[in-house]
Amino acid sequence: MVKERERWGSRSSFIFAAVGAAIGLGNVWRFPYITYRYGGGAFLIPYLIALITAGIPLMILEYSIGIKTQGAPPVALKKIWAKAEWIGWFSVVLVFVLAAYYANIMSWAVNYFYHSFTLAWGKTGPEINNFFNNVMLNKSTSPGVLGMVQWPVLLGLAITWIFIYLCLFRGVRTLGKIVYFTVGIPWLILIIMVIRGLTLPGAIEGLNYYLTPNFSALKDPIVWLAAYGQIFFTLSLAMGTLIVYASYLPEDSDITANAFITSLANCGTSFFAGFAVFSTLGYLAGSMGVTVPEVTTSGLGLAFITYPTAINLLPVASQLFGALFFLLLLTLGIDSAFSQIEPVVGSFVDKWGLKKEWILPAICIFGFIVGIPYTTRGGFYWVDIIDYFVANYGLTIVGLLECIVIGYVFGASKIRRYINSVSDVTIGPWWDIFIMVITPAILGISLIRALYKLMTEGYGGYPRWTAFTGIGLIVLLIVISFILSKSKEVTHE
Amino acid sequence: MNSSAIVMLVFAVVVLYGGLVYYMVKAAKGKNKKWRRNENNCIKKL
Repeated sequence: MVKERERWGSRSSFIFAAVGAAIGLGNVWRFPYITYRYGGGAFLIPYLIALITAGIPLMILEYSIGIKTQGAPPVALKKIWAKAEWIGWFSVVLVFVLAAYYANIMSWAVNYFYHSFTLAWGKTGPEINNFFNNVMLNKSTSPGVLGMVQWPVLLGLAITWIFIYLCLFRGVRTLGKIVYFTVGIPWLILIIMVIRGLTLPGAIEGLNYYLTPNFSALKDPIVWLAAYGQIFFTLSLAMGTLIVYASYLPEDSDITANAFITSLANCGTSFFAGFAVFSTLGYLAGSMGVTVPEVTTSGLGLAFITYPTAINLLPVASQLFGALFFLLLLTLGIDSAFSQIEPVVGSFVDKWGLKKEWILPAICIFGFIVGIPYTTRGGFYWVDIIDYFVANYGLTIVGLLECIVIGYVFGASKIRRYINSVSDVTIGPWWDIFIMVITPAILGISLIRALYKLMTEGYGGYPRWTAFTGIGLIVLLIVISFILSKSKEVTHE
Repeated sequence: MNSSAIVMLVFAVVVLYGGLVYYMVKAAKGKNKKWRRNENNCIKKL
C-alpha cells in the first residue's frame, strides 16, 4: 500500500501552526503575573537564559525527531529506540487528558464571550466574583462533591469540540490556512488592547510593577525554577504536538531557524501581553483607590474576575472590549486545543493505519464525554487538580525521558549532525550539553521538588485523597502507554 | 515609567524581537525557501 503523508502547504503555515500551539491562555494570564511575582524586569534574565538553555534546545530536539522519523510521537520514538515507543504514547495520552480539561476552560470563555455583550457578570468586584463561582460554575464545596452538570458550561464544551473538529477535519493543508487567522486575530486584538490599556490613567503605574527589576530576587533558586518551568510549559514541549507538526514537513526541512522563530514569537507574545494586562491592572487599581499588587492575580482569577472588573470600569465601549478580551482568549485557546488533538489522531493513523475521517470524530466525541465531569459543580476543582498533575509530573517526565533517549541512547551528537545537515543555522556541541545535562537536570530537580512539596504539603489545600488520585492517574496513563506500545503496528509497504 | 523599567524593556525588546527578526531574515535567505516554490517536494511516498 502506498500512502502519501500529509504536508503543510508552506513553511510559514508550519511556523504559524507551531506558534499557535505554543501561544495559549498562559501567555496572557500566567507570564505577566510570574514576571511581576519573581523579580519584575529582573525575571526576564533567568527567563531568557531558560529559553536559550532549555526551551530552544528541546524544541530543536522535538522538531528533529518529527522531521527525521516522519511519524507521530509513538512511531517516531520507536524509530529512535524500539523500547521508547511507550514514551511517545505517554505524551499522547497525557495530551488527550490535557485537551479534555483545556476544552472546559475554553467553554467558560465561550460563556463569558456571550455574556460580554450585556456585561451580565455584574458591576462590582464581589458581584463578578459571585457570578463566576456561584452562578456560572455553581461551585460545590469540595472536589468530592461533583453535583449536577452545569448546562451552559456543557453547551460551551460542545461548541469548543465542534470547533476543534472543524479546524482539523480537512487535514493539515487546510489547517495551515486556518492558523493564519487563529494566530493573527489574537495578535491584532492584543495590539488593540495594549493601545487601549496604555491610554488609560494609571497604566504607567501598572507597567512599573511589571518591569521594574528587583535583582536580589535572582539569588533565589525558586525564581530560576519558575523561569525554566514557565519556558517548558509555554512552548508546548513534551506534548507530542511539535513532533507531529514537524512530521508533516519534508525530511530536508530546516530545523533550527524554525525552532528559534517559534520560540521567540511565543515569548515575544507573552512579553507584549504583559503590557495589556498590567496597564489595565494599573487603571483598575487607580479606579478602586488601591495599589497594583492588591488587584494583581493570575490564571482563572485574572481572566474571569479581575479583567471583567476592569472592563466594567472602562469609560467607553465596555461591551466591545469585553467581547474583544474573551475573543482573544478563545482564539488564543483554539489553536492550542486542536494542536493537542492532532498528535492523538496522528498516532492512531501512523500506528494502525486508521482513517482520519473516522478516528478524528471518534476522538472528539470521546474527548467531549471525558470532559463532562469537568462541567459539574465540582468540575472546577478537578480542572485545577488534573492540570497540576499532568503538567508538573506527566509532561516533566516525558521531557526528561526524551532528553535521556536522544542524549544517551541515540546520541546527541549523532542527531546534531543530522540537524546541521538540513538547517540554515548550525548548532554546536553546546546543544549536546543542554540536552544531556542542563535540561534533564532542571527537569529532574523540578520533578523531585514537586514530589517533595506534594508529600509534605499536599496540593492546593485539597483533601489528601486527591493527591493519590492524581498520582494514580499518572501511573494509569503509563500503564495504558505500555499496553498501546505492545499492540501490533500496521506497516505500509 | 522609571528608568530601570525602561532599561529592562529595551533589553527584552532587543533580545526577543531583534532575535525574531534576525532568524526570520536567516530563514528567508536560507536554502529551505526552495520548498515554497516547488510543492512537489512536499509529497513523500511512504
